[in-house]
Amino acid sequence: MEKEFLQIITENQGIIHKVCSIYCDLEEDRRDLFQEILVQLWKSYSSFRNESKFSTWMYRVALNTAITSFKKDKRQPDKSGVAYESIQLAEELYDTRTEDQIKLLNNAVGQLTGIEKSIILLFLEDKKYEEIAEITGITQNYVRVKMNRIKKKLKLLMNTEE
Amino acid sequence: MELKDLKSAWDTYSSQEMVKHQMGKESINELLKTQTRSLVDRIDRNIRIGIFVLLVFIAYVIIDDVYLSKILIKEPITYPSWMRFMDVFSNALIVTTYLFFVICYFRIKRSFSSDTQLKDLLNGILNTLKTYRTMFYMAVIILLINISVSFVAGIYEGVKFKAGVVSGGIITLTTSKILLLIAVGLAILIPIIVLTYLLLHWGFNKLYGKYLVKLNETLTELDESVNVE
Repeated sequence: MEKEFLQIITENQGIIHKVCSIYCDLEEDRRDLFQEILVQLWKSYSSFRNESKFSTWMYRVALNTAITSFKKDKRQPDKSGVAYESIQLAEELYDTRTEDQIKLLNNAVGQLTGIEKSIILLFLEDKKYEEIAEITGITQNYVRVKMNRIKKKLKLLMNTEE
Repeated sequence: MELKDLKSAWDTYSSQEMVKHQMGKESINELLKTQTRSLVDRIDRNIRIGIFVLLVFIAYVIIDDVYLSKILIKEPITYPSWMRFMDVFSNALIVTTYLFFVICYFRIKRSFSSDTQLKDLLNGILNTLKTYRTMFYMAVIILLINISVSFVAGIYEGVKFKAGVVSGGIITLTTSKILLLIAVGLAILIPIIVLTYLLLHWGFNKLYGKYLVKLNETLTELDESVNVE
């Protein structure tokens, strides 16, 4: 089972990286969260029964772990949604417009709550409301309500930044 | 910036991040082997340690009452019946509360895992944390009862001894002297009890207070009936 788990996680590790990117601003926190998610996935793997898609199950475990593992105050994880070091590195890789957009994204997402971050991440990953509801465990109707509020909040935040 | 631009920025950023942090099977396996305990795991471990420590402490209190005191104190002491009642009552209270706590803990133990719905997970963690808080305050109460009973017994014995030496025994003390003794005793005991409680209460809140508040906030955010007008 361990080999099978390692194989499937290696293939789908992008999901964990995306969750870590949206919840952590420091490389150290990111590594800790990656490891914590990995451990929780391993602990829960035996209970995965193909009732949902593997990616849906993986998103659920990863987001549940990220939302419930609040970090120590000294690191202040919620001030930023996207790793600062990554933006510095990104400056060398992206054009100025993309770089500005990433900075805007970073500042705006950083001001969302844990639940809002999970919904916006799934929205950015083109998940339908039905799947977002399945992953987060809230009703589709409430996902719609939350999504509308997040969109308004993000627009306001991004327009203020610009 | 529009949301579609946000989406394209995210796509560019996340694909770049994936390339940057991509790990091989061996590195992932290595991370799994050096697994660390999460906060919930640590709380669970602390509860188990606490259960054991409390059991040892309760055993000590009872053994001390019924066995050790008789061996260590050579001169026989005759306590009044109200003090005996207080002693038996506090021990019964301690043992009952402890048993109640252990039963509660094993009932909620591991009733959740990370792949359950977020609400269930949050409720599970909250229940574990609240159980830990109950255990902590139970230990505090046991300690305070123990301090109080020992203090009252000590004062009583001291007064009885002194009264026996200088006058005809405790029965000869005037009401005003007895009231003064009670007042002095309370003036010393109450600050000790209050300060001990406040210090331990502050320590617990410092460690877990913020976590409890955040968990409750997240749970409230998930409550549709509260958030949808």
